[in-house]
Amino acid sequence: MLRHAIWPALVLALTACSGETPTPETPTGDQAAADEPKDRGFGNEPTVDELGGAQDTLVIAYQSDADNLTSVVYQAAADGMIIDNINYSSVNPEFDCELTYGPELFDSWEWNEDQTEVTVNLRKGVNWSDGTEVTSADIDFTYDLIADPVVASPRMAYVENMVEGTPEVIDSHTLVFKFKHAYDRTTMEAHISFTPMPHHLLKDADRATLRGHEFGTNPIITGPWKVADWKRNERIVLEPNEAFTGADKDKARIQRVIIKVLPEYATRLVELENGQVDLAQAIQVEDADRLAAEHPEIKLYRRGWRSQDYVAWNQLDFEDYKAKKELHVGEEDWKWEDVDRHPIFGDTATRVALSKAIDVDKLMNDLLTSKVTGEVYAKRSVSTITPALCNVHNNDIEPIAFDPTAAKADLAAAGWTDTDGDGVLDKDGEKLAFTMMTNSGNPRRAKGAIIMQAQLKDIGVEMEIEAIEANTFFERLRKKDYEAALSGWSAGLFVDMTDIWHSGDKYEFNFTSYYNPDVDALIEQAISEPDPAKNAELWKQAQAKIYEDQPYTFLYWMDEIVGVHERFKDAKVDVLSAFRDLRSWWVPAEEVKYKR
Amino acid sequence: MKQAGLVLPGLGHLLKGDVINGLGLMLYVGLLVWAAVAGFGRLPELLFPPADQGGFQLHPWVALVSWIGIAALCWHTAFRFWKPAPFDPEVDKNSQWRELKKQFRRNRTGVFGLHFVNVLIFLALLTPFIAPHHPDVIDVGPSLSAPQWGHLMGTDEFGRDLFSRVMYGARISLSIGFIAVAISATLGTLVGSIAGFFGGKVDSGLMWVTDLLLSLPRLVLLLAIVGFFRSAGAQSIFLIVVILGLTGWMGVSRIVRSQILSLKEQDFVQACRALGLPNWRIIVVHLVPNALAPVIVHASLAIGSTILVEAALSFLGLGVPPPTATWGAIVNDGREYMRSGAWITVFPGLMIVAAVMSFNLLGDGLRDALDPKLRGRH
Amino acid sequence: MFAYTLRKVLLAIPLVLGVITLIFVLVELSPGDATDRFFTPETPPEVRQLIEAKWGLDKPAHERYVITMKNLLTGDFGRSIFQERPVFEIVMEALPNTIQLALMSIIIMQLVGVTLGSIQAVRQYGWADSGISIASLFFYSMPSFWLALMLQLILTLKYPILPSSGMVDAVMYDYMTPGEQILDRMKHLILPGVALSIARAAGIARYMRSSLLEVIRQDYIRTARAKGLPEWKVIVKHGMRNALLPIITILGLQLPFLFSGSVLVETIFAWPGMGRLIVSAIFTQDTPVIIGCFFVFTLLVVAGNLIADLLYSVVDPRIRYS
Repeated sequence: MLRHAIWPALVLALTACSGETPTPETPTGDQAAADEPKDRGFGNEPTVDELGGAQDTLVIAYQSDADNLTSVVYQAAADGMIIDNINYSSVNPEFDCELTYGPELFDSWEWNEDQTEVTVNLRKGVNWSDGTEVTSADIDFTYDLIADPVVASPRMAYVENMVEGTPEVIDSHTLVFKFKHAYDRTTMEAHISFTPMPHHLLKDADRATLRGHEFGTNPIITGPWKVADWKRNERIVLEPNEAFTGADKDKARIQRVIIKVLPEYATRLVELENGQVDLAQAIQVEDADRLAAEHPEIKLYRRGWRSQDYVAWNQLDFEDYKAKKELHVGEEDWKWEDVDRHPIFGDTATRVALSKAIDVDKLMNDLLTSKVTGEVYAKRSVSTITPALCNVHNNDIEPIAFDPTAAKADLAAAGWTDTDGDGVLDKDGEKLAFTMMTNSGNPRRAKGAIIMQAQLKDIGVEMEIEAIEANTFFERLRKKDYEAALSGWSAGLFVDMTDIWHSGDKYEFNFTSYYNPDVDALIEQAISEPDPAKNAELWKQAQAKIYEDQPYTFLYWMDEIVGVHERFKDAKVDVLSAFRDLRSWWVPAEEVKYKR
Repeated sequence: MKQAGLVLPGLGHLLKGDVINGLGLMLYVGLLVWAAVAGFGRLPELLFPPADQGGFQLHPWVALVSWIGIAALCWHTAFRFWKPAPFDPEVDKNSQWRELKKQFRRNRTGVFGLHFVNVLIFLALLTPFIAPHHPDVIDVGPSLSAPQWGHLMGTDEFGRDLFSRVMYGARISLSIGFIAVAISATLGTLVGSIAGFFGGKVDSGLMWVTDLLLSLPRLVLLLAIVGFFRSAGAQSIFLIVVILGLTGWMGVSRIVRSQILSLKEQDFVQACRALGLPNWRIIVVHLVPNALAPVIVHASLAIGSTILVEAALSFLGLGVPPPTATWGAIVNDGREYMRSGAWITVFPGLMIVAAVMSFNLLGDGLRDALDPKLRGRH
Repeated sequence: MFAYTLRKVLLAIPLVLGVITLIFVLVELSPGDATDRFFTPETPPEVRQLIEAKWGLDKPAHERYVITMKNLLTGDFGRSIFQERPVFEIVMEALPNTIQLALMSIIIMQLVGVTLGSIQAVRQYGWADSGISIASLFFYSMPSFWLALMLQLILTLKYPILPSSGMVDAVMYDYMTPGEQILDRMKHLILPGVALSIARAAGIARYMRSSLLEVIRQDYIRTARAKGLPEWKVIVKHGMRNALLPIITILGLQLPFLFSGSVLVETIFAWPGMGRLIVSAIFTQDTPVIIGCFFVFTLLVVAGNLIADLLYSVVDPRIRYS
């Protein structure tokens, strides 16, 4: 499931793990005067009537335009963002160390004993914007589309484990999803709650050309917002949906949301600073410092630990792998036991030594720390599971300490010494020299690679850096055509380490050809273990074993900095999205900027 | 008076009233002094770097040889100003060149441009001495710091000295310009001379292709070609230079063609034919050399425009791949830091302007010298 | 006149065909294309075939070439692989935006170029002449994208006088009066227009300078002066008209360069035009869009050349009969 969480549209954000309700952080420390309107707290925001009079407009700077608003086939990040806003979600996500779902369109649901069947009751009276009620026919139709190979939906994995791929309809507001076997409950709930498509409108649409259907530009919707205007590559305007049948407290308090398409980071920053946009994401640390100093009207939020950088070491000899792979074409379960190991990275002790030689704290300090406040916008990583999932993340793993002396000793013990005095370690005539590749266009990784190069040089390891265009980079990772790679993952909220760590050539995200039968067993157990406590225990064990083997040198998780104009109260910039639940954001009457 | 040049090249010129050449020469000497002061202290480790820093490098040696060569050039020029070379009618084979040189010397803007171009070239050659740091080494200063004494152009996001990067970028950008234009000129001359000499269908065909490619602005054509190569995973400085060369020959071919057309009817060509010389010999030995003068003019202007086009490609992400830093690439890198480090975009941009201006001045000067009738009418 | 025009149009057709063939070949040779994004590792082979058939990718190259050609000539640009919309629609959305920018650039270019060039001619060899020459050369040698960045930095951030991106104010445009709307559009057009046109304006200034200088030397100017007319009237009424003729004829030739320059300027100012469209189509390898864009582009180039030729023949009747 991580594979699909990587999918750009599903990039999800996580908060710092804390015991209480997450609140946004503000480094500015400039507290408002006592009588200025402040956040009321989630759930207590004033309603539209209480605000009365003028309502404001929120302008969001976004990197790319949306493509297609048909939920079963969309792929762009902007698509997902808009679809979430114009549709009444099936479930309401909350996050506190783990993702849980509360009722929305799905009024209630019940799992059976062995968690293979769930009966869902839909809320009554939720209408599409053309007046038709949302019924289970819509849900059934949606899953039928997802399961249909002709549609080629990117979400086909959702129905992989369902019996027949579609739910059973009991009546107009009840249905039952049946699974072949149980797995993590939250993931299962995610899989049943996909945004529905209108059956009455699209039942006769040609499935092969579904992507081209005008529904993608002009959908009927169920949510609090509607697309009022869409000028391609310019802006998308969302306005409150008058036909929204939700409760009063769910009605939008802002008059308009304008998504301005600005592909250039510099332009987004300029416009945030001169007030032309109200929200911008992924602000760099240096710019955040300057914003904090020069623009107190912009509140800075941190979204933590949704993506990390790591170094992957290819354990196999690529040439031999290629040759052997051709012999095993078509074999689904081929493992790599008979492929030659890589002379350097095939050996665990060497990998551990290399990890000791890399100073991760220095990397975090140089790349992700504010020069002004000393604030570190990163956290040391020990796993591919994000620390925000505090129940599942193994918090007991001790990160490897930076110790070049020990590294050198370890390498010597593994047979690497400098026999010819050229400054580079060698063994059996083979130099400890390799190429690390990374994707071009990422200054943080480019600089990180250079820093690591210097650190490795200090212990006699020669590393060359190769910056490769992004698509080619991922191609080569998947084909295992590399020696070392500096890459990253976006973390999902669903725990499934299969794609990355389970052995077997079919798992294409196991870039390092990692093979530990114990870990395989743990993973297999965990994904079919419904009990959360047992499940968590298994994942923790797997993480510990993986960390011992150091198939990656784990580096750091990063915080994203989002800037929002402070006139927007109760802005939700933490859980799951850079701007969640837009309908509950509000502006006090006296601070409204855009009066109609 | 003129002997003063032997002490300080340029002084002689100045004292005799030739301001431009005087200042030019003194500027060269200034460069030499700067290079010496900044670099000679480090000479041993530049010329003989220890093994763990990469071992033998060619370019500091090239810089040293260039330094000596430039110095020799300056003193030679000063010497010749004092005692001009004796006139030898035997040596005077190609009167067109001599005429061009004489006219050119009179053209003030052209000479000015020439000096500027020379300064750029010398800067590029002497970079190992002048640049205080290696362009790719990070953390030689705090990242994103403004221009200051130790870092004349500030530092970039990696803490690399921008001045050093811009200096080394000069070598790359200028090399790309020169080589690409050399390729264009060669190819264009080839096509133009064949078209002009043989005429008829060959001419029509070749000119049709030329016009086809000329009608599309170069950048758009480059987008398609470079885009194609990029998707094939091939992106290297070598490729960019070749592609730039292959998209710039059209102007040259037209120039050469029209020159050949007018030269073709002249007596000496008939004489060659009467002698039974093979066609290729007539073209290569007799026609082309006479057609080259306008090509040189065009080439000079083309170097400027090639630098601009290469910068544009880098800006779009289709140029020379990192870490090679051309000026355009540095500007592109700096885009993200417009607010926190505007100097990263400002300085390489100014260098591009300076370089292109120099080549334009030089080209204009050459063009005016070539056809004095055209002076004041472009 | 008609025959001349017809001849020029007929000559242009092989040109267009040639360009499209060239682009087609290039795109053909590129490995992979935008349809790759439809396939996940699980996509069964039948579905792959279905999708390829839908895009006509299962046919051999030469068949596809013929089909593409036929379609282009009948106005069917196919569908964008990336956006799943008719390419025609996509191009027609972007084209007017680029044309607006180009028109504004032409106006700036001509105004600035003609004015400066005239000043230079009238005050030949004076300080104004040298000063403008140097400034012209300076701007002529500048990368347009760099100028755009500098303008954006100085005039939208350091001194926020003008908007930094977009064609209209994203928020308030819908609520403006028509007068305000036009003003808003103008405000947004200035910086990209200037960035796009300054270099060419410098070129026009030079051209205008020499053209006016030549005209001033003519006899009829001396006659006008002898008549006792004030100098400015001599220059403006008699001189300019003739001096402007060559400038106007090259107007059409400026179009292609404006479109190519827009590729850079549009990126910086987030202007939703053809330039940005071509760049993103090339990056996403969206074949139908690439071919559609180049087709439109070539048509515009041809149109530009044609206008230039026609204007020139109007000005100089000798050409018509050659």
